[in-house]
Amino acid sequence: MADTASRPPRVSARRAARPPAPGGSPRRRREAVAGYTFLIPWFIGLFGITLFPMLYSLYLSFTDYDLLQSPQWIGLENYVRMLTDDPQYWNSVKATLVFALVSVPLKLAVALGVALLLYRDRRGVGLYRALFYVPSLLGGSVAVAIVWQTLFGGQGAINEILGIFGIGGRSWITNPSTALGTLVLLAAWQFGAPMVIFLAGLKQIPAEMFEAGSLDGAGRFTQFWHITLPMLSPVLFFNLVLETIAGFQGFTAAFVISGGTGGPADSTLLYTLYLYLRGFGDFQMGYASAMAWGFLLVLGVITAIVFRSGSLWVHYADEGEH
Amino acid sequence: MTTPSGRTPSRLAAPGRRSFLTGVLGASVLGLAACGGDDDTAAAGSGAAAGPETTEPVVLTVAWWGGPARAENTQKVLDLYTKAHPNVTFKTQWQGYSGYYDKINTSAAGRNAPDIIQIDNRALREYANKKLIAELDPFVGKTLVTDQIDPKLLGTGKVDDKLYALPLASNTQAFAVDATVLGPLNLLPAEAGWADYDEFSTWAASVTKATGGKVWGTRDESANLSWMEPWLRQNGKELYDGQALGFSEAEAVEWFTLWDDLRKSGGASPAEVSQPANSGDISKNTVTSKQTTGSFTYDNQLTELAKATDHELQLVPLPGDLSGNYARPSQFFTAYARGKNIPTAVDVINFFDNDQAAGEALGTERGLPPSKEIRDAISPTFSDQLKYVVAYDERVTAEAGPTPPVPAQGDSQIGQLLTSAAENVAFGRAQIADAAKEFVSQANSALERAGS
Repeated sequence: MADTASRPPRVSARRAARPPAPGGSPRRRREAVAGYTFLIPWFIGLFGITLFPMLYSLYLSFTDYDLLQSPQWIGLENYVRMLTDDPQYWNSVKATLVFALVSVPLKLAVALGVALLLYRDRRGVGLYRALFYVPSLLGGSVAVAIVWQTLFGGQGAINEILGIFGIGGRSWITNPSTALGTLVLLAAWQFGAPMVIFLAGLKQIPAEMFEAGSLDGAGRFTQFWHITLPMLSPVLFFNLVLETIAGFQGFTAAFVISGGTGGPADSTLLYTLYLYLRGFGDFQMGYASAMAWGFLLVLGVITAIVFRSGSLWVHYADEGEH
Repeated sequence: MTTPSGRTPSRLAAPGRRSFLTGVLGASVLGLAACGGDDDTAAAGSGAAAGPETTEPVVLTVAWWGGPARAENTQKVLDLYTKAHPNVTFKTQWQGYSGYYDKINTSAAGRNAPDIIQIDNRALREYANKKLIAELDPFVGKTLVTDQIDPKLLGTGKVDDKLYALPLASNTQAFAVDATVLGPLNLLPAEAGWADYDEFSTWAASVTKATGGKVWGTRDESANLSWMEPWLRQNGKELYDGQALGFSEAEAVEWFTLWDDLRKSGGASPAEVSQPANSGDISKNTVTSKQTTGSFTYDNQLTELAKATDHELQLVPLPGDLSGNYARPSQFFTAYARGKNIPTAVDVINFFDNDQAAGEALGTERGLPPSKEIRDAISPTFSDQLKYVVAYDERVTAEAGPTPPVPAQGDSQIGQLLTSAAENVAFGRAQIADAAKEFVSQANSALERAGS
């Protein structure tokens, strides 16, 4: 891994994959047929399970569809209602934005911090890495959300602990000003996946850079700021993109902790939860489809912005060599 | 988490950024692809060939909401049925009330709903109009015996004069009080309850004062449509007027103010304490959690509540006169219109209402048995608690108002909107006037949409 990092691997990889002679020979055609044949199961998945339902949902977003009877074409009505006549929709947009904007940076910061502590080979470090990863294994599960609900409930463990220190507890889950915070905390706690990726990234930074840095008298913080962070920026970027998308799609915890309502007072009504409630709770699948497409559009724009911003701060090792 | 942790960062930097973007967006789309079902409108009643007398093995799925007590009783009845018809066995699905309909709707969208579905009148119109549940009229007088059921109660299972749902039991609105706490404080309300809401408010405030603020007099029920309805009826209004609200902003303001005053006087629990039970989940009841000495309940729920606490609970009517109350179908059983074997499903439903052993197993946990014959036959076997519930129900329904028609389509949304508005007021996030205005306008447009 260490040697591929210093030299762009894509060139060699592409060259190796390229056929020896330009196509046309019968043998090559046979190979192509065999290749596509092997791909058929994947194509069935792509068209049958991904592409068709997606495009169908685009169609549904222009209809009034109650899941049980045929959809009725209503044009843009769902979109108009979404944007102009649904206060709950905007509550859900607000909750989702707050959730993603707070939980994603927090999660990445924790992941990076723990990765920095764990990336040097010390005795037992493998065990610690595994232990810190455990919450992510449980992450999306309903069980953890239920535990969370109990921990932060009015008569839960968090309040018991606070009580020892004489701090008057409150019901964190049922208060609209703190309920979303508990969800953010739950999301940040599941930092295992980005942590593992950070660890791999950290291990690739050549040790000579740090040696050279300390010879020049750079302290630990300077080294972190000027060596670790720039060298890690592609990995950070990757994590940022993935976590942003995952953050906006948060559902399970909000659903379980709020008892499937998005309450109290819509404070945990994350976008996908609201979408679910409209689609499956109220039989408004046309409207829910419109919400999904609005979401896709906005998420696409946000991701594009993150990508654009990447050129300002992401440092690719291979670019420096030109 | 969908992070492909198998990929190493060195290779991540390698593909062009554009293809990376496409991949990532693709991944996000995957999570979003909505579930579009195909729209075959095949005639209902497939598999009708096997009648209730069939000897072929039949497995029926039965779904209901409720607590452990109901699960136990229902399972007993199903076992009785299997004993009489060894070829018919059951799979059961039960859960709390919150999220129950989402689950049924989701399985119905997948053409895979349970064969026998418990519903309440809130979903009846919707399910009947969307042809999710089978019409039962063809079975009446054959598989389905209805002549022992009070026509008024049976009528609550009809939409546009067609029977879609068989009432499993009837109940009426009540206020559950914790006698173990209130007795020693000398604050136990009289059997007849309170003459009006002023008296009730004074009582609630004095309870909270007497317990030193540890236990509140009543739960804040402002988010509870099930109490708002009898309150509206006491004020000469109804919840619905056809497919529109039967009340206006003024009543909503009055309702929110009533509870706001109760919270301010200390009589009603603060929003944080009341909120979890707003989802309608009986396991979150604040009387059994000993946070309040009283809360709204339906009389039949006493069985489940009593099971969840070591305190003695009693039932009193809601404050004010009894005209707001009504004899209510507590739950129905319905047959899924695309069920595997509808005649057998109907026979099972009939068994719940008309078999004496089934009646004994059910008691009054679901409410009073709908069949007069069964009720008379099994009452002597009732425990004191069940007799107490029956006595309460008979006392109240004797003076109760008429049973309103099946709620408007979209009723479940009205409940959500009320909860949202009431929580906003209770947590101080909205002024009463604004919350009431938004609630009424949102509710009316939701009803209009649902009815169109």
